[in-house]
Amino acid sequence: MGRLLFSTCALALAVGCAPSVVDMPFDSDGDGLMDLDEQEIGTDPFVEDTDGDGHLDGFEVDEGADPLNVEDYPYAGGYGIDRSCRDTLTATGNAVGDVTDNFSLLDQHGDQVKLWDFCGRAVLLVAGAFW
Amino acid sequence: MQAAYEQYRDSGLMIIGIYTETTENELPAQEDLQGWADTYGLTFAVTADDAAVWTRFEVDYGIPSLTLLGPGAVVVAADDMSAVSQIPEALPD
Repeated sequence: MGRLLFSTCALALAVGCAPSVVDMPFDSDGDGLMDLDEQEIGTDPFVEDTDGDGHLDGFEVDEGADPLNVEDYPYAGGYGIDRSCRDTLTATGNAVGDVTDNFSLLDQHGDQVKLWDFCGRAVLLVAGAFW
Repeated sequence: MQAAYEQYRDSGLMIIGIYTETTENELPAQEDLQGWADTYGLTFAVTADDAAVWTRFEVDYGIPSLTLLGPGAVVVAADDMSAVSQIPEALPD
């Protein structure tokens, strides 16, 4: 449960406006994340899209994306990102038992699909042509 | 493939369709990919292979070709048309 984070100057036109936190649930910017959760994650509780990638902070968190990284955003296809192991992988080859290298390919929604964004899942690669 | 995606998606399966060319022998554009997905009701990723990804698995028999990866991007089956039957064993715990 989050808490209300508000600017004292916005409420009282006072100077020296340090944000304050009081105990009540609130989502100041309406991005789907409570203010206290935004403090813990590091996103701005007054900016609905902290990294400016076009996606609400709350949506990014729900989809497994990083709301602090403009290059890291949810897929329009709703594929369900699981990149928990992405930063630990090292490609070793393409034979059975190897860790295959990452790739990034354009999908039908205009997103660049990155293989290692699904490294926590099984992935079936289907190569074909429009014949 | 759509049936497999719907069956196993919530258990941890992702499917990436990798398309190499259109009927005009050109790399598919986004509208081609969208049209293909819409025509066949595909909700998994339908992508254009501008990086020759499909050739990395030493495909012997041309396309279509299936390659299955387990968690950690570990190759479970490469260029193996029986890959679909191996999906249950490849799913994350």
